[in-house]
Amino acid sequence: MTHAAITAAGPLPVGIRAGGRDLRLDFFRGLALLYIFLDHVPSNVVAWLTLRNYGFSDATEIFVFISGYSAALAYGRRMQAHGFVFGTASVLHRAWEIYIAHIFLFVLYSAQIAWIGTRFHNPMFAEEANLLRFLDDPLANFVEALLLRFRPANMDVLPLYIVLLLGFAPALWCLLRRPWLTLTLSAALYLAAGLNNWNLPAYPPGSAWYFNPLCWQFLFLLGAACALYPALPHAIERQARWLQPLALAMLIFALAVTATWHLPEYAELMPEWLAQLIYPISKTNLDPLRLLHFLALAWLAGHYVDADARFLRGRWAAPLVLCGRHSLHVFCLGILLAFAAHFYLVEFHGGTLAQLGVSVAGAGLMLLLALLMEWYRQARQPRRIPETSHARED
Amino acid sequence: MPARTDTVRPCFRLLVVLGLTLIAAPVLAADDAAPATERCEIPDGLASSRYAFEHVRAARQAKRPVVIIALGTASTAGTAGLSSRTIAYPARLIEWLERRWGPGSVQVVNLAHSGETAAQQLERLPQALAQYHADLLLWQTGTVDALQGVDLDRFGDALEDGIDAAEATATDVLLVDPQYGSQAFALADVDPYLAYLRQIALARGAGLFRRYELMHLWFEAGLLQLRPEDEEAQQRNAAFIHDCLGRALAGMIDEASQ
Repeated sequence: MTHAAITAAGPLPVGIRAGGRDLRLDFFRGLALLYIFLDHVPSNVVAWLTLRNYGFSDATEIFVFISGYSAALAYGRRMQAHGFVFGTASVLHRAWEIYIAHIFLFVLYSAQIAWIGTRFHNPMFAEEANLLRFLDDPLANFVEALLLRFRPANMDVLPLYIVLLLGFAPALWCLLRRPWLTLTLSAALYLAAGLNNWNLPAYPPGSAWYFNPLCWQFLFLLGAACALYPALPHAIERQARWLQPLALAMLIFALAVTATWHLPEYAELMPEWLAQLIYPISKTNLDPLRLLHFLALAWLAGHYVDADARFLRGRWAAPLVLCGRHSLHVFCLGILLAFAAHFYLVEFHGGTLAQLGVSVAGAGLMLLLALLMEWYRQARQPRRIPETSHARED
Repeated sequence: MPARTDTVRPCFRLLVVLGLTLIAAPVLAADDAAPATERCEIPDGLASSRYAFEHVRAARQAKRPVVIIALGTASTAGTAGLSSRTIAYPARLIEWLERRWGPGSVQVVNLAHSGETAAQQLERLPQALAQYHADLLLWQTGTVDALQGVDLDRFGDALEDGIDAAEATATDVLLVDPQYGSQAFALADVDPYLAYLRQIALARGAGLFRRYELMHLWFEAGLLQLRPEDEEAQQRNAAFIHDCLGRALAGMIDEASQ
């Protein structure tokens, strides 16, 4: 497909009916949120359900791709209708909202550290004191956290999102005009940063951005491009039918490799030359294997799950759709719940049933929050409060 | 919009069902606690090496003592809540190996220090390798790196540099991953460091002792107590767990060097 043919199709989000939402976005984002929560509870038997055990990529890729997709939907139209300045302001406003949510989570994290510090009573785990170094100089740590240079574990997704949004306005402007050039530059940055290990500055020295924004921006912009040029995937599909079996082969290959991680019986089957070739698979720099695995997954999902698929409107998809629709709030709650679940498992019971219990309870609470948010949104809608009248990227 | 009400109602019903299940769960959980056995069981795959320890084998065949350098943090140094270093797993490892190979057949040089990252541990390694002519490097690492959020690539580079140094001086490598059960891992993500250890061990042909997974299984079986009532119970449990670790390691080293 040529450059001219794509731009002729028009860089407008034509795939979505005005006022309607692509339920696939909410559904898969809700699924990613559930996976992120389950994966954040260490040694959780329910986490066997999540994507990361069956391939290279995991919920983070889904989350970042869909975030890019919805950001382009929300701000692409605005930028075209109201100009670059207003579009940029909207993007930055959203980045600010997420920044506030992140800082709120960080304050809670600090409280958790202080509280855990009073509960170190099994000296078998003497190294835990490393975590308490945080309390030695809280002021410096708070300043570093405000600058996003210090990001505690499990709290790396929102800072990534913030940084990606900060650079999104100019990238969107370019995507609307020169999609191929923009994507090529983005891919070049991805490869260069991955090869040379370029990353943003981090604190304390020696640590790094767990999700390197210089690499992950490529996936974000791929999502944005798919939203702006919905005709593109179909055009590629018509041209290259072999992509489908290739994607399937990628999933099978990834499944076979991950099986050797989890099943000691299969570990022997992994050829040494292949291990030397592909390991270690970097999550920080979005290893090409992770990217290709996610693209294969997205390719097949996009092909087989139609935007009008009936199950998306059915009762089984409803909980995930609802969580995906209120993703920022549900995500933040999930981070806190994962901490509570880990604490419960280590402090009280760690058995399989307890793992099942905290997972179900956590998912239930996330759903409860989404339900309350949805109720509130609907309850105030008839009163026509202006801020809910325009499409929101959430 | 009717579509919206359709979303809310099934969710509400699901929540009610989940709530009722959770209320009923304690009743079902009555027999959740697995009976604790006195013997620590070691499932296949967690403490067996895919690669033979050639240099250890050569030392055994030559009937000279096998020299092991132990690198690690507090649990290896024996300073982690244990009444004496003789309880720590490296000391237990000597005893279990001597039961298999005879008295005087093993020497362990313990260079472990509390609070060090892999890169810091590495600093002392080249000199130690040159000084002691070790046959095996027992390297417990990853805990402090995870707690400090060290850059994964740096962590991986340190591991590879250590393995290079060991290979250059004809020393086998056995990596040991972090302990399970640290409250701190609620706030620090240990999973990526576990995965890196596993992948690098595979890629470089080093042995990997999967202590995290093993201790998790023992915890589920009621063998590892994370909240002992008093200090005495704590010591008893720590001694028991370290003895189990030493025995599992001895079995692994013995099998890989036959």
